[in-house]
Amino acid sequence: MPRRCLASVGLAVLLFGCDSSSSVDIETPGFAPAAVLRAVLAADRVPTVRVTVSRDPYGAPAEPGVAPPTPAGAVVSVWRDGVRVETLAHQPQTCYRSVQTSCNAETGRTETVTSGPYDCGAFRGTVPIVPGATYTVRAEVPGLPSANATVAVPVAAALAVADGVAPDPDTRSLGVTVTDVPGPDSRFGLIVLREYDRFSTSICRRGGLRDTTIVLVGTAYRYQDRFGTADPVLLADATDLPGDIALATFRDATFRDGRHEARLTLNRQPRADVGGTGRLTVQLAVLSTGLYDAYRVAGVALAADNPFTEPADLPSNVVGGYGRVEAVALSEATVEAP
Amino acid sequence: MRSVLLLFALFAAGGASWAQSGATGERIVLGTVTDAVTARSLRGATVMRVGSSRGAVTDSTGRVALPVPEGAAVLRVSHVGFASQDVRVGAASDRFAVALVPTTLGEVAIRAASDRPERRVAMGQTSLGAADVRALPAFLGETDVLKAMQLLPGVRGGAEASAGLYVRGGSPDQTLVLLDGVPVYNSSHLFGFLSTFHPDALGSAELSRQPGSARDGGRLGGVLDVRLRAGDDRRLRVQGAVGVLAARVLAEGPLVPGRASFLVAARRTYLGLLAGPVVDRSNRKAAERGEAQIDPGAAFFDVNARLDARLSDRDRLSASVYTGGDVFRLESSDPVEACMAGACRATGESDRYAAGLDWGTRLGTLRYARRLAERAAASLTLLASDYGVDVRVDVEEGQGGPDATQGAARYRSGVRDLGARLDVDLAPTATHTVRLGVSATAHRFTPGALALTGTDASGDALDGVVASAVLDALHVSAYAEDAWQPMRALTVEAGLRAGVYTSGRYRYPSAEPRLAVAVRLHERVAVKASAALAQQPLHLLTTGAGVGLPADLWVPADSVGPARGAHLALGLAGSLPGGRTTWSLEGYTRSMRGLVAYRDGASFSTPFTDWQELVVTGRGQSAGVEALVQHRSGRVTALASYTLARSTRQFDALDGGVAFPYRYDRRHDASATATLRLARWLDLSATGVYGTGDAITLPRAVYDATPLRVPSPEYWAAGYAQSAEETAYGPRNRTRLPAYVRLDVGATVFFHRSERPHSLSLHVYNATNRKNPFLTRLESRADPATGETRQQLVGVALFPILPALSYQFAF
Repeated sequence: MPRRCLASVGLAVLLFGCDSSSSVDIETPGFAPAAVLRAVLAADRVPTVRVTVSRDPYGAPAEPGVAPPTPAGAVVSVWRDGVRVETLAHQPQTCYRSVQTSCNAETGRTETVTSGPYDCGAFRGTVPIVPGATYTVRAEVPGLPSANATVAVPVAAALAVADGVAPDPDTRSLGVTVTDVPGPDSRFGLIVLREYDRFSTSICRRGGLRDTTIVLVGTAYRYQDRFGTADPVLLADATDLPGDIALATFRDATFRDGRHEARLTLNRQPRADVGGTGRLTVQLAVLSTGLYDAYRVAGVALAADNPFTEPADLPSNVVGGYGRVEAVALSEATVEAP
Repeated sequence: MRSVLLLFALFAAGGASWAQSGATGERIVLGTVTDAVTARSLRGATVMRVGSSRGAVTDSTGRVALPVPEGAAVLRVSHVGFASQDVRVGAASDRFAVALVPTTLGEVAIRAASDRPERRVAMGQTSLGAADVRALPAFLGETDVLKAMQLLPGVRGGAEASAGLYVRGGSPDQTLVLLDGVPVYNSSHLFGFLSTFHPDALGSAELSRQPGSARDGGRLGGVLDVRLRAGDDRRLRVQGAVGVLAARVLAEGPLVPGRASFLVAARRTYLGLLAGPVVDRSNRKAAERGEAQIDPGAAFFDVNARLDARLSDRDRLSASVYTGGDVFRLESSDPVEACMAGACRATGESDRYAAGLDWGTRLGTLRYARRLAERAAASLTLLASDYGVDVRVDVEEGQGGPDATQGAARYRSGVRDLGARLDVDLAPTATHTVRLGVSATAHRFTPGALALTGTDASGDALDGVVASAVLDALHVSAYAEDAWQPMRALTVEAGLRAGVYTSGRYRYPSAEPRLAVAVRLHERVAVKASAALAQQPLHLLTTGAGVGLPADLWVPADSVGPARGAHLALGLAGSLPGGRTTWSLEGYTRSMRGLVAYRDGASFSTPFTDWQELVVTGRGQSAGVEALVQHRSGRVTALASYTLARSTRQFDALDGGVAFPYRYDRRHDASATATLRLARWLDLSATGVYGTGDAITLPRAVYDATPLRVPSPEYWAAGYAQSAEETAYGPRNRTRLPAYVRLDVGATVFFHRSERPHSLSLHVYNATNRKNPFLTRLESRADPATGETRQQLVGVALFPILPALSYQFAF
């Protein structure tokens, strides 16, 4: 009896212990493709909408850096307060599966080799978006269910910026005044842009790429600078450190008398690797509710990338498909370099 | 509301009958039950009059009062982990004292079998002794009380090999885990693969799968009451074990022979020593290839100590302390290469990353017990505990180069308790056993403090500290309960626990009534019912990873209110003739509200936000039927359990407000374990487990998206044209992983069954090498027919077949 039992255990080990793989296939749910709408409607600008088709998460993997194609035959229309405004025109744009750029040492010219061209163009309108109106964007893609999204376009808020007294010579202080817009529970996004010139330190010549004297490529580019603040309203919904903010998202719940003044601090000098005027632009966006929530969720933790969060969808307002159609109203104020 | 009224009506009925005494022609016999080895009082021992169904259970001082007919009587005394004993009480005597002999090492029993369920009022309650736990097949040779509990119906662990407890569809925080009466906030080692309870120091472990006695409360679920045993006060003993995962040792002996004893137990893993040569070899090869070198490490330790003293025949003093912790680290060094025109060369610079995760618990308790009178005893307990988590990430990039940067993030969280409780046990009449008590516990919660330090490439400092506010809370409560046996076939236990929980400016009063009724239908069959309301003034914010990370945060109810629950159960229990085989069948339903969960996208790692901003509240519902059969004969002990259950959650702000399955909802759950003493020198054991697969959420589509934080004015209007992808997920927890199936086998050879036993055990975990998914990932596969590449979701198993040897000794 003991021998038989021990032999059984040993046999089980031998029989089942030989498979060294550690994974097992799991059955996945079926996939149904749907239209994807992406747009941020900006007040007083013409609408631009990108339309693509969702892909099977268990199908062919995505190619990094390759935008999805625009489906052939797609029709995109825009409606304002229930009235059709226009059908957006497709703007053909050629994308490539791969792009390789190299310096031809013999000719001294930069050469680009591309493969797999396809259309990835967006759809563009001609009628500017009216602030305060409610828009619906509708997409008809052959073979797929109709998809639409509706969003209320906010009205731009007044913004004033003035230089203030900096706490030390290396710091610049800006006073920012935001005047609220009509309506309850407005949502804002605030960023600071700094003007710079773009240079290159190498050039393609006969013999190949060589280091060279600095060459000015262009001027008046703007990069997003980081700033600090101790302002409780701006920090209430912050997802950055108080001294190192890229984007401040905040609401008007604690505004007094319909306005709010905050103080921002920045480095006085621009980044060491760029030149230019260093002119600062503070940009204030009144955000649609969904866009604000999307910034908040995306800023906090993108669900797919964070192993500590439950898988969750980012906010979406597209019915019959995926994506997001949101809106902003922009205002900005510029202060010259000191 | 109706259930509350019903409960109070029943309490009132019980109170009205308070003055009634035992039946005429009976007398009260008083007795004490102690451990024959340690002389320690035994709480929870069952005393039955042979030939009748009447019995009683000893109180915390080991005392019992039992009505018996006039004349001589024979009483049978039994307790988990001890051999039963009969004692004769003469016609002229009203006292008895029994010293039970503990089962020796390796002696096998699911001792709960001897504790016949039809004689207990409580439902969903099972006790295990140290011998019971040791008899089961072990994970890597390490026996564990929580894993033993997972074999019971309605109880399951979390992830593979986890020592967590998910009881009747509830989350782990809903079960109050006590070590010598002190709440334990994290009872796991090695991410939950083992529990913090030293198996040799274990005296008893009793799990209530639902709110039972009013003595303990403050949680929506039941109680796991783990008690260390007292040291031997007669002679010095040492025992221990050496396994592949850890080694442990225990020493006990008299401080004052016959009056005071000590017990010290320690355990430590040596994973690092075992893995070190493998890691070094791997890193040497990586260095030769210019690849990153990775140095992982994980270790744990724990130390238990206990002192017991009999100050007099009426006074006892005991003190116990526990300290234990885990250290996990992962370091890597990655050489930096510079590539130009397809040719790469080493720069001499390197990037270094280090991550660490430490957690640990320290706790202590001091208890003074005094017998006040023949029918009254009291105990005063002082307790303190400190649980903390420390997460560290250090990054050094471009070291050795001109643009070196470094940064560090440190995250700390924890909870500290300081408390006292007074318990009084009374036996005013032969038919009533009353328990009263008050307690007060001060909590200090640190939900999370994140500190960042570092410098960027230009040498600028990047420092900051963001901490959620430290939260202080005070919980004061009192309880009273009565076990009343108005007639031979009817027993009623009714109790009420009331308290006030204060956290800052928030104050939450609570009333937690309990009621249990047992009606004996037959000598060996009883029908039982119980009802309870519960309130839980603290929450555990769990991550979505589902692996029981110690980064889960304990937080008090404040602006987010307490969780509340109601529990109803109905069942049958009985035993077969001879009493060797017992069975129970229970149905239950539990409703919960005020549950918390992280809102979409949030986790403990979300910075700069108070926890209250990160959570949403919702409801839960669990229901199920549990069947349990236990058998113990001379050579065979066995347990089989089956649970049919359903557990859902519903949050207005999650998943469109639709109720979804709880992650650890397990429709079918079955366990069976058996141990066979094949010979005096050989025990064989086997455990089989089957369970419905975990509920998970899977992507249903991937689509073009825009990185939303592109910083340009053009972005706000048209920046969406950049390529990126978002994932759309299906309904939450609506996909099931493959069923969980596992078979463990073990064999123990005893070299010497005596006072100095030695034994060698071979345990095989997952003997069939079943691939039970621990996590999922996508795997790219080429279709040989079409050449197309597709993504296949695969479940990755953590543990293949794992044989392990362990050696136990005692002298």
